Amino acid sequence: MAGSGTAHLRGEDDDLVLRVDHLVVEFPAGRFGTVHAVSDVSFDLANGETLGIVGESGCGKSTTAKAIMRVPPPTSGHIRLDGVDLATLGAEQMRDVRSRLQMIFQDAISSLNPRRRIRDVVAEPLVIRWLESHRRSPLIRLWERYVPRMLRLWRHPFVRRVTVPLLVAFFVGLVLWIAGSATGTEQADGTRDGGIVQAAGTVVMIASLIGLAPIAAMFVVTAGVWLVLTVLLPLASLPRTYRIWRERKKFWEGAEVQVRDVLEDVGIDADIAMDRRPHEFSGGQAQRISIARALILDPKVIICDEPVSALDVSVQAQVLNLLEELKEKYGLSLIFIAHDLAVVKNIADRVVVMYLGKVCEVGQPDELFARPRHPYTEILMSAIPVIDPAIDPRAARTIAGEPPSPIFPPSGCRFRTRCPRASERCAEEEPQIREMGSGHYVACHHPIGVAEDQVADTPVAVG
Amino acid sequence: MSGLDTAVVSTSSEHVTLGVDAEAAILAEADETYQARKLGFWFWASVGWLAFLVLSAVFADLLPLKDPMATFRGVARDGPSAAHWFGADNIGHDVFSRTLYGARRSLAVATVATLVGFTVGGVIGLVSGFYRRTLDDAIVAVLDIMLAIPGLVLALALVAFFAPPGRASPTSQTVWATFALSILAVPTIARVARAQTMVWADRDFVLASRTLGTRNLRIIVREVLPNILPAMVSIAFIGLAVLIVVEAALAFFGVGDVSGVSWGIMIQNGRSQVDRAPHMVLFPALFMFMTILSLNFVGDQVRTFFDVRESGI
Repeated sequence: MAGSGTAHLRGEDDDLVLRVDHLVVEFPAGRFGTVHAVSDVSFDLANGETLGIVGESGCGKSTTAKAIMRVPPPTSGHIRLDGVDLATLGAEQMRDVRSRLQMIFQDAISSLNPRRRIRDVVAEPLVIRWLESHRRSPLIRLWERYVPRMLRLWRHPFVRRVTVPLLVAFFVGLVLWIAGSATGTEQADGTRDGGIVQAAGTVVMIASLIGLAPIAAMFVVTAGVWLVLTVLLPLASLPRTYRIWRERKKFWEGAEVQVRDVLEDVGIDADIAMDRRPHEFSGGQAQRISIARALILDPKVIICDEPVSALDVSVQAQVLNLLEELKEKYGLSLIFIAHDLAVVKNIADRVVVMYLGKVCEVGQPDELFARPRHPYTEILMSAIPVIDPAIDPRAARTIAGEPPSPIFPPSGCRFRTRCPRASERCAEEEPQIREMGSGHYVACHHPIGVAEDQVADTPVAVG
Repeated sequence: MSGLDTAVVSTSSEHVTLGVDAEAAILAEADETYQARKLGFWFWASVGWLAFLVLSAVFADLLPLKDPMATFRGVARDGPSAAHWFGADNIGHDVFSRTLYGARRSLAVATVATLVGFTVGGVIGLVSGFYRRTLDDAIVAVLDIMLAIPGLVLALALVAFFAPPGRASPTSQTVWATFALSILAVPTIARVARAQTMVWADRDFVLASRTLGTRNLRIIVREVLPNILPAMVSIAFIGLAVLIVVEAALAFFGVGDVSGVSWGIMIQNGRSQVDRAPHMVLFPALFMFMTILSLNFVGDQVRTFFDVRESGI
């Protein structure tokens, strides 16, 4: 797999809520390396749909989810929620969007602050929205705009390019000056005359100090402005703080009703749960609570990052059924990330298979799991344990080793190093996603079910 | 794909509510947790000692104590007696009342310094651990330099330079001594706060808070701070003990306000008399020893007690 392309994306008339185009997430690794966590991934999500994303650990599923939530933001690409590109939104506008886009996490208990009560945890989204609805004073907004700009100025490559050589020059001059004065001839009055070396040192030091002066002045002036603004800040925020403090009672009356409703919706007894802390709940209950937190703002899309992987199988089923119910009730669309294929098969309307930051295969779960086209999907399928004593698990097709390093991904198709069907072409040319059968897309040069000599660049319809 | 089909568990999605049994179980478990968290005899003994010391220092004027500055005739260097419980020093001061009055200065200076160090160090540690990167590198470099300077030497130098004994007023000397002790407390507390912040800021609930668009200040105050407080309070108690010793050491070396009464001054006075009147050093030193031991006990227990369970049932 390891393919790029957008052949699998649907048109505008399909009532899409979310569309992710050419999403790229990279992290710096060490001094020079870059982790290519997600490379050119595209998918879309229709209204009321559940999109499953599967793949082994480290394939970039969770990174994709976090990039959509912009924690951290993607390196490049577009994320369109109802036509608004989240990738280019400012922090302020993003805050408004976040109420329509929520996320739940794998480890439910660790996603709830152990020191806060369930009431506060579940109401937190409401609190944030309420706090943000109070306008900040002009001074605070000025401060918020000023600080990033100041930091950007300080971090500007030009500043570093000038400062570092000048500092080096200053110390070279200092060394020259000391060397000159140490080796110079002694004068009658006891001082030493360092001669040309000491004079050169003096000149270099003065010259570098003159060069450093404007930069130092810039630091002092900008930091001074920052200091003045920061000292004034608590004063400037007083009226807003007072307004918030005065309204808090009214807010909490409304919020408590909402928290109660949403807790009942996820099957938690609000009377008992509200004043407890997260550690007093089981994993399944904690996951219900974090679902409640995600639901309280009535979002359109919930990204579930392996929401049931950490739970007992019986509890998994309860939570999955709950998600299905809530999806109906709240009109949600879900992005469901998992490595458990059985779970995805049952909950998803459409499945994306990922490998090492790329999309392998996209399709309806029934079709995809019954007739996988991509060698990676097939191997993933065969890794599912089969409850049948007649089947020898050793006969299953498995692949050796671990995925290659995302710092140095293989050329061409990223799966080729472990692929049983890989050819030379796979190393040279990255496969593009193409349609094979209705709604079934695959990124492979040698898909399963196509005779080797039939392999062509043009989309091949099979079966 | 029979594996897929059999793996599907169809369980009815009845709402899971905490029934009466579950409620009782939770309460029973909470009781058990409290049982396991008994603070123990030594904690209460330490608290008792500290309470006794603080109360007697605060209300020393109301207690039927002898005047700590009065000299009594004919009792110089006498050991403990019914009239002078801890004996008298070389010029006839009552050691018992001086020990209790001396607690005032020792405790007040060290407590104020710890509070200042706690606040400043806590803020520095939180900011440094939360924002990381260049800011963190710079702050850690400064903290390392501060930790590399011997604390007592730094405090002595600061007080001796800014409030030279004999020339500066007693108030200014006390203020500078307190300030110097606060500076000593900052790097230790900042280091602890920073390390704890780094641990907690990586947790999923902080990420969850970020996905809500929470501002950094709120994340720091609401999500991180409550979790790092126990460790900080614990280290502050131990820091308080250290500062009491340093305060005494400053008085011992004669910097800071040495006109009044403090444990350090008493030990300094008694130093030359140890062979003839050991009680002059013994009692203030014993009080200091017990206070420091108690503070260390309390500091340890506070952390253990406030640790929350993080796993589920």
